[in-house]
Amino acid sequence: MRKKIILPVFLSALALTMMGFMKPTHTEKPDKMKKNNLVIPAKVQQVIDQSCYGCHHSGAKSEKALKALNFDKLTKLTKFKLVGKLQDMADVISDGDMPPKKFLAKHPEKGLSEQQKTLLINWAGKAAEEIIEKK
Amino acid sequence: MKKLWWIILVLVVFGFIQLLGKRPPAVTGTGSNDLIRTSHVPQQVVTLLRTSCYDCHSNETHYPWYAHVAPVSWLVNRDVREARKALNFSNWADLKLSRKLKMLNKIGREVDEGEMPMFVYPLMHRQAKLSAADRKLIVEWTESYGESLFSE
Repeated sequence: MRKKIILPVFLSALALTMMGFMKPTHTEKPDKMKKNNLVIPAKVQQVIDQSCYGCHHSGAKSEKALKALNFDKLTKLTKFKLVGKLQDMADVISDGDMPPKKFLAKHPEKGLSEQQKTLLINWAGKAAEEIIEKK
Repeated sequence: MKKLWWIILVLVVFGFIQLLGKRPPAVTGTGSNDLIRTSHVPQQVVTLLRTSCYDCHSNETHYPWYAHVAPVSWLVNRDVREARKALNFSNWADLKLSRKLKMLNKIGREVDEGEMPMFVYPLMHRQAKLSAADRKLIVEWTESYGESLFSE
């Protein structure tokens, strides 16, 4: 009788312990590392979520914004296309073209601070260079 | 009589402005760093690039006669100067890989969206007008060439 209980208890304890060792993967957007190995650091992701993701994600209503950039599909791009998107991101932000002025007039809270701009520009530029160097 | 003086004045001014302005960007022919010479560009794309892009985006500009006459020459010279500064196919092999990728991405987008060739250019050079099929060819070339730069 006792033995019958011990085994399941032992097994579930083991399972629980192992789960503890497994790192929690991103639960919100699980497909982050599919085709290329683009990794978006949490700090950068936070800024993207705040200022960019609203228009540049699958299901957003502006086709123009989606054609230009869709964060949900970023990792499914070929290296050439991904490098292009990253370089464009850096340019568009440093030129002050994104987020669009019209949009910011309605949603000033989505604007980028100078620090956030620098963070995004540096990340995009570095990520592009890394892909190119590793080719 | 008064009319005659006006005509003379206009001619004198016209003659005088021919002396003004910068020299036209030099034509030096196909250099050893030229894109078409240094990479395998498909023949169809070569033709398109030569007829629709190379007049401004290379050192192989064919200036039409009116491009030597001010004030048109000022506009043409400025456009060619700026075009070469942005992208000069004659210097292609000199560019860093990241720059090449950036340019290919930009060529693809601007040709796809109809931003290039600049709209005045095909007005004066009808053969430079790109059809939808031409545009597709160029866009597809930028992509396949861009991808190939990663597997070299």
